[in-house]
Amino acid sequence: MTVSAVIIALIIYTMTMDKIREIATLKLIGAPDRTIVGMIVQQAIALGLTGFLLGAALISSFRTYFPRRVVLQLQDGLALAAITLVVCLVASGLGVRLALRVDPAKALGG
Amino acid sequence: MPVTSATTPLVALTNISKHFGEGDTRVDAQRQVSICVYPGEIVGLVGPSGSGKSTLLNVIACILEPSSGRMLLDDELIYDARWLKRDQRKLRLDKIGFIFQFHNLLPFLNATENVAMVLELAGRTPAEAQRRAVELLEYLGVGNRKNAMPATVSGGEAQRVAIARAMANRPRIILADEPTAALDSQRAGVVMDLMSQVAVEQRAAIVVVSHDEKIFNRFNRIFYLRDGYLERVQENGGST
Repeated sequence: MTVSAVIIALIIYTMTMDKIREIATLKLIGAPDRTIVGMIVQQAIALGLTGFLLGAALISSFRTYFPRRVVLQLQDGLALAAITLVVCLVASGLGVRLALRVDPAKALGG
Repeated sequence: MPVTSATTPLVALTNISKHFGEGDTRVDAQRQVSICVYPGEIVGLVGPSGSGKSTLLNVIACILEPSSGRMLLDDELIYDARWLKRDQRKLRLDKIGFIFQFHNLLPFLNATENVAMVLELAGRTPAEAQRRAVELLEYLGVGNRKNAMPATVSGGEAQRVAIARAMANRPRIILADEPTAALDSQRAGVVMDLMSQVAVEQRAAIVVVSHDEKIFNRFNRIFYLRDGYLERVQENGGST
């Protein structure tokens, strides 16, 4: 789980790095920090949900090809979804920290 | 409630200085600069690299605290040896519009959404914001591109959308950073015409940082900066 959290954190961080100018522009034109934090958290949740749904689809498509199986009940799936969500939220912290430190002056100056 | 008459400047800087570092490493980026910009005016901030144009623009944009001096925006005292407004973000949202060299439109929003976003940040409902955004795009001649994504419009069209965004909350002050640097002469002329139209019709003060000599004759006044000093002011007449 730690490895997953680190990978998600790095992905969110890199995606945030790619949007420094947009974030600076938003800050310059007067967007509050909560709007910017909200965008990054939404991105992290979307990433986590996409990964979870893709994983679930792969499991249901290919489970018959494996001789030994682990039986997952609905509550196991829900618990895994909740854990994924929490891991994504924690992992987005690095991107949020970066975004909050962006200087709005970066939007000016070409 | 501030009262602004035709003769009251919208931007009034008095003896603004800004230095970075102290002692041997001290750099004076701005030295006792005093300028006023009046409603309906477009002024240019001009000078070589390192002359302090960007520093001055950042000070007026309330993203860089001066070291000393006094600043009024829209007849409201904003800085007098210290910030007098705690929330500079809100101040920018309410009073200042921005136009950038590369338009800086958000690539994942279409033209209307880019303009409407600023209105929604200021508290308008999505429906109101959408309506005003479309009105503005039509006013600036890009109504036919209202659903276009920034990557699919030309540089001139993108800059018009950016002007619409800058005007969205009816700011009295518009700051433009090299707005024509990425445009050819013809499109630069169109953008300057639109900015002049906005200055006159909206009674706004527009401050433009530019190296682009082909637009210098479009400014009502030009403030020449050198080494942080205001070297001279050139009057161009114009429509004020």
